[in-house]
Amino acid sequence: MSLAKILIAVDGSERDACALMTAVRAAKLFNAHVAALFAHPDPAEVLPLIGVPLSAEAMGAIVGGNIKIFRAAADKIRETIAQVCRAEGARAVSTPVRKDAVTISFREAIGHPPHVIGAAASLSDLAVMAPCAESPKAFETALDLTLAQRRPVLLAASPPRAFRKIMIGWNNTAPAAHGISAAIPFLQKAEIIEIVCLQPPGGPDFNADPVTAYLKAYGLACSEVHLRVLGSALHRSLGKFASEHRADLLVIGGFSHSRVRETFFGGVTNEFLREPPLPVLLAH
Amino acid sequence: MSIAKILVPLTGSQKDRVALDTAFALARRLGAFVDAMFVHPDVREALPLTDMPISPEILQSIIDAAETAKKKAAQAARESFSMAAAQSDARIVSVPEKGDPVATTYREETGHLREVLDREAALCDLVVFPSVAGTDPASMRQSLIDVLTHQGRPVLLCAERASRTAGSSVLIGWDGGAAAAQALTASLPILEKADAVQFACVRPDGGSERPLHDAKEYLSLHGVKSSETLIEAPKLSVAEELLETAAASEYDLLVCGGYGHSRMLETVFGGTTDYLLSHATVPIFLAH
Repeated sequence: MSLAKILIAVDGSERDACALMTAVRAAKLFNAHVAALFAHPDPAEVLPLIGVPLSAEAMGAIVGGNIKIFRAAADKIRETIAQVCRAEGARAVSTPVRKDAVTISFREAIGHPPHVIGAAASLSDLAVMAPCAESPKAFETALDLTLAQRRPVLLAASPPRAFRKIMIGWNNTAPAAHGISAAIPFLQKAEIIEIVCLQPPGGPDFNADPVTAYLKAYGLACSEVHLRVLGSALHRSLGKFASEHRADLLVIGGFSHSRVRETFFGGVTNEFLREPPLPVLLAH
Repeated sequence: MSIAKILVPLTGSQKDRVALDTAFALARRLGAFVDAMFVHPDVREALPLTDMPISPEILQSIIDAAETAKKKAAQAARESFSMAAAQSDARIVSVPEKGDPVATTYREETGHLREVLDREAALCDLVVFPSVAGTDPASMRQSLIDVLTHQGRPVLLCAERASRTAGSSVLIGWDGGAAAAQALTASLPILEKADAVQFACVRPDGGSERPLHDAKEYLSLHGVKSSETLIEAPKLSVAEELLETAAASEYDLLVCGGYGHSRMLETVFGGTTDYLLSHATVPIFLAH
């Protein structure tokens, strides 16, 4: 089994290019389809909430302005898709189909963006998202909702890379195990797999034996390293460790539905998710 | 994302054989490894909790009786395992491995089923449970619900009798909900190997967030062809309709989202999932 449908949430911003490149690089491993989704509210519903009634002209002007903004964003997205297709040898298609090369389709959907993205992700194999420093709320809500559908999320980081060397953060918990089973398709394509056992100083000792046994059922081999870190510095240390060792992808599980960002060992710092030093695969 | 390691908890009951046969049949279709695990509580827990002093002789006799019961159960589990493995031409190995014919291992764990599964289910791709209809100990049913809702691992619930073809023609209960989508994506490795896949739409009211069209498109990207049937104006409950349809058309696997509503709602209103758990006439694949 491999990935066939990779969803990517786009919004016409500068971040789209990097995210699309990441999605296409991932899709190449499986010759998968990349479904780009631009979710935005109904232009007629995005009206400012003010105390005074708006005149028909003013409303018309606002709605017209919204339509223009969404249309410009959609045009920008099509342009970015065309660029990525040229750079990566992918093909733009009008409806989701798989061909002998990676295909990219584009569609717009109207609704509350995080909900639309979450529902679309539930019928995809992977969702690719670009971290957003400007509007972290919307990004984090979309991330929460997608993870709540139990779909893995690949956070794009610049520059996009091939997924040859994969590091897995392991803390001997069920959430970390979920991350690993979600990463299986990537692990099957990887050249090097390293399990990083994250041991808090003074905590109980554990090793990666359960993971090694699980991966053996897939015919996969891995090596094991131990990293002693404090809970509060965990993600920074792990991210730094993985980029120093030239990993192409970091796999971490342990995100729970509601306050997602705080559960993997007590502290995924927001900065880590907003600006990951390398692509990160998350699963709940 | 795929199914390579199948866990089968055994308790030494007659139903072990059904679970093992179904697991081996599925493992052969998927090329998966079968991890058979006999679970038995610590015999020391058989001691009564009481303030009354108990003579050492009586204590010893209770422990001995519990020990004998455990030995008997373990022997029954081992026998079921070796017979099922021999009949399915499975290779018995000591560490998990991939390969053809199917590889399998048998081990024994001490502890309560729920606790052991809580630890062991996280790193496996599917847990196969025997039928929990009728007079079963509640622990089996509760373990199944735990694995499904707490661990978030997919579960295969066997029917009363073993199905040697489980997964060749699959019926998917589809209501456009998040749980149905979860079950669909989780069962994909089985659907990819199936000969026939059919959706049974139970709430064809259109306005759903995940229309059937999207689900079929997702499957076709994976190279899986599917057809659909609408259950309009159902006369029975959703669960009954699904089981009826599956039985009438001889499907050998039903795929459903488990506990689409909260567990509490399901309990209060006697939910679909609970009905399915008690009335499985075909093997049911559940995900939450």
